[in-house]
Amino acid sequence: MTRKLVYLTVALALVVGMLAACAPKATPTPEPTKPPAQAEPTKTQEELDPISQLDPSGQEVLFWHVSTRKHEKALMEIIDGFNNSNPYGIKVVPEYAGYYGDIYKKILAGIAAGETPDLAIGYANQVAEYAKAGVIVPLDPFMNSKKYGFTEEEKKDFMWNLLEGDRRPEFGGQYLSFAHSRSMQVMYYNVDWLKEMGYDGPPKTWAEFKEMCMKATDPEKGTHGYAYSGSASLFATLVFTFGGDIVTKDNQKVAFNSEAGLKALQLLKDLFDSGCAYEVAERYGDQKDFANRRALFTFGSTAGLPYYRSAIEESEAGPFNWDVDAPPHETPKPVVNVYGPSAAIFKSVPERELAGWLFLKYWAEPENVAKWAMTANYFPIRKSAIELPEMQEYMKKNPQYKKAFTLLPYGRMEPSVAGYQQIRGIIADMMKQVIEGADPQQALEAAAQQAQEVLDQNK
Amino acid sequence: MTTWTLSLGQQRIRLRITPMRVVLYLVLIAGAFVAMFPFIWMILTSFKSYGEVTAGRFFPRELRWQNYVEAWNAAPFGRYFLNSLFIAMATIAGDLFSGILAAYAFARMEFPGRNVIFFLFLATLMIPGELTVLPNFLTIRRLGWYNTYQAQIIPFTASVFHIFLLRQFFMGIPREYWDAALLDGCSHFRYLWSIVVPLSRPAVVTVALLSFIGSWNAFLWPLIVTSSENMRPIQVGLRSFVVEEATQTQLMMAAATMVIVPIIIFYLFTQKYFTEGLTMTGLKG
Amino acid sequence: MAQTQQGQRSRRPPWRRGEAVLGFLYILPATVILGVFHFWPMIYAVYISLHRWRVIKQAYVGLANYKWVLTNPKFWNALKVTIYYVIGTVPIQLALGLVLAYLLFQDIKGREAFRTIYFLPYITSTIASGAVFAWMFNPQEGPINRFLEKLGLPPQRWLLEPRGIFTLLGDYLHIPWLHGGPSLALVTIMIFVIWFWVGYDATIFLAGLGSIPSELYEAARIDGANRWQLFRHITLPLLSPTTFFLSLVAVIGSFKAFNHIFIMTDASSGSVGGPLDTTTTVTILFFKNFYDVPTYGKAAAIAFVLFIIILVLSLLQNWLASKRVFYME
Repeated sequence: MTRKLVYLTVALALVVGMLAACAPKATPTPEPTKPPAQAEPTKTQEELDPISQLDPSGQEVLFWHVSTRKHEKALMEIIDGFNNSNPYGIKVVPEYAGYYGDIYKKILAGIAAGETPDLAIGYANQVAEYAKAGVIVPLDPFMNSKKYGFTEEEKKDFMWNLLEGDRRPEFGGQYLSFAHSRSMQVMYYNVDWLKEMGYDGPPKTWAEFKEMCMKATDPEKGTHGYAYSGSASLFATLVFTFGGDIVTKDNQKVAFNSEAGLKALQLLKDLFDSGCAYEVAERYGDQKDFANRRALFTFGSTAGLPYYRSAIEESEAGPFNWDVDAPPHETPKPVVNVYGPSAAIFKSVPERELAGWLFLKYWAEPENVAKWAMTANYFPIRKSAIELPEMQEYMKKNPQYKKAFTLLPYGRMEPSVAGYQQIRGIIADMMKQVIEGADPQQALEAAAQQAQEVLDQNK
Repeated sequence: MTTWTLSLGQQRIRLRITPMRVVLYLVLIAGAFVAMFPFIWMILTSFKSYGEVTAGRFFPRELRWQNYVEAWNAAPFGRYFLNSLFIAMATIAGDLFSGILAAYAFARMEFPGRNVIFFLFLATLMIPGELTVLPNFLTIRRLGWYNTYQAQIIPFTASVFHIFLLRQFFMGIPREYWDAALLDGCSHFRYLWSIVVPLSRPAVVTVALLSFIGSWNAFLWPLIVTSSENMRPIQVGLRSFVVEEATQTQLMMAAATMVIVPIIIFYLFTQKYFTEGLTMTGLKG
Repeated sequence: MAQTQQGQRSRRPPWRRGEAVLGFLYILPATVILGVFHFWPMIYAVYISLHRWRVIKQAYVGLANYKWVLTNPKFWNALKVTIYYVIGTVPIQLALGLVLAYLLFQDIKGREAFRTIYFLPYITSTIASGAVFAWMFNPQEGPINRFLEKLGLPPQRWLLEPRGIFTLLGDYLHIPWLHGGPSLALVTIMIFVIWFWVGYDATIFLAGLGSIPSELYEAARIDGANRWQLFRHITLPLLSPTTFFLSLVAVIGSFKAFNHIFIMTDASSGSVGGPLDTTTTVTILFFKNFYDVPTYGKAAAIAFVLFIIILVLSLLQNWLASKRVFYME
């Protein structure tokens, strides 16, 4: 059979080849490039709000997203809802474009080819990269448009501290993207284990944290206090809890080479030197070790809550009580690192850009942000979404989610400058060097210098 | 101490069981175990429960077939399989056609600049494939092939490495055959397809297999040149699974098993020709 | 025994002109495809490498990107890692492949089965097998550390370990002067590479062994040669074309190594080329500059420096081969 198959293949190749050999090879003629879209909306008497003059009727919006399965299903429901209900006959056409790294590559290739979607999901620092190539539309005019924007009441309903990363100082402080939900990095802890050791609550300071870690560490049993999974987000969390910052507010200068940064690194070094922390060897390895009672503490995204839950339920170490809390902190108030993807509108024609915005706005309605947040176990960016009965129901079923919710007001966003991806790598290497024994001060200075170079290159 | 001996041609000498032979087999079996262990581990893991995976159990307590059902239902794997199969078959056809012709020309024909052109061909082997992604994407756009099968097929219908392999093989066919064919008034074209290719069947199968492997395992390129689900191949599905279900190792392994098995089956069917080809003439310069 | 060099031509065919046209016609399909999808991108990439190019084209900068590459410590580190990688994989995989092929070539039962099994790693996608390997070497749950523990050896951190293997060995054996070398993380990747290629090498070697005429052995045996002498003076020299071919493929492959390093380091810690850049080969560095930071100009310059290196190495190998490789006709 295989032999036949092979011969068939060869025969087919032959036939195709003969045809090809007879016909002269046509050289592909490049398609004439389309005339550039009219970028400037026609000016009218109402100069202040040109957006309100536009008519988005009948526009088709190509939307690249990263969602699969239940997330995709929820997204499709929102899209269908918009397509069926909007009075302009706008149609949003969703396309799955791979995961975050993939969609980024795809859009970069698209920018080079002059073909981008009308709307796409991305992290704020990725959007900053697109914006530097000049393909992103700032959202402020849409948000403030009398006809198509948010009402004052709506504006008050948003938790703008969760959208801080979408507003770009280097682009005149405008919003380049908009997010419908966020997650944050919290401390997971094993309630039962803490109780066994004689503690009735999670640590509030890093000194307490270390003390508990030391008590939980037992090489005989293979248990440790802290399962460490290094990342720039974790470093941001640590620096925040010591009252520092990663970059300055204007996104121009590195700010982590401060006392707070040094303390963060010294803390890491101390935890490793004393043997109560260890590095996990795979992504989400800390979650597994937590579920198997090999580690007392981990730090992770709230998006991981359902995975922690099922891991703990299914683990052979048996179910136990656990919870989340803000990381220990040296600041007067707790602080949590907030992050998550956003959506950005790409330049096309003003009418289509507006159509994209109208979809984003529809998506931002309380029912939709609630639905979206619950699917991904993220948090809605609107206060009123929490009042919805389905959200209340959800919180009852997920006590840890409810707990995390109370931490939102303490949320602070990680920086999102263009080049942050590279800086994340520099920071991760710095952390790795320190836990391998490097001097924190030296590592910090070297990393800050490299990071500053990246920032400068991105100006 | 020559109780075991070389098997040379038809000369086979019956052998006794000796310590040397025991060692020989032990080494071979150990090698086979090492080669297979990751697959065994993968398949074992694909049947475990999440708890068994995280606890590091070696054997699953029971075979959890539902892992496969879950993985299969997670994405339109059926469509992905068909797409990959079609793309792979078409790629093989084109690759063999262009490869056989070019290899023959380089091996047996005289034309000016032959060696220079062959060298230029070889030079492309040294370029990281990633570098070509961006310019090729621009080309595909210009040709209007975005989100089509041909975008995933045509760029792979010529491979320098495969031309190189076929050329090596063709050069091993004795020159006398051609001289004889020439006396019979045979043309290059007829000689190639009625003598060289049949004689080179194993090499052709080898190239077909390599082509299949390359096509079946392609990831980044299909992701970039397709936009709709119904054009996507299998690895894109697997990859999204690997990224999103990173915590569900057992599902990941079930998906990986499903993706690997077709290629193993294809190999098992072709491996006789495959190895026969290499054994017949080897890879002489 | 007639041994001739490769380049030597036999007599010219009588219809030279017609054959020349036909020759061009035969290479036409391949040339068109390669031209459009390999040569053109190369030329275009040269153009990119001469510009500051961040997603979209910016200023022409001449050779500045090349200067950036050659003065960048990261590049030299990547080159060092790549050289470790070549030295640590190519000779070992060839030697193991030859040994297995030689053993398989003896009169044994189940040769087909063994050969089929050895070849399996080569045909599987590295997306899958790389992930499986990363997971096997997981310090906590992976079977490898459990096995080491059973043997009474200290468990290792494998893909997370940035320290050199000689440092680790020196610490373990208390030999203070022993330090450095490729990181254990890189060695873990080398183990994967060797696993991946040995079966392929063995298969090709086996083919090479089969092509050596048995009369040669018989003649030598009549002259009283022992098995080692047969191997040393007949098998090895006559296998040299195969060895040359395999080492060329292996060296080029090593310099282009990417997929499995990407998958394994990404799966283990999420830092591609980590820990601490000890697995960042030149190709990985290229990739990081292409996608993590979309500085296409610099990435293209890295690719061309790499291209030059591979080219020189291949020419060197070719030159060596012309002195050392025997071809039979």
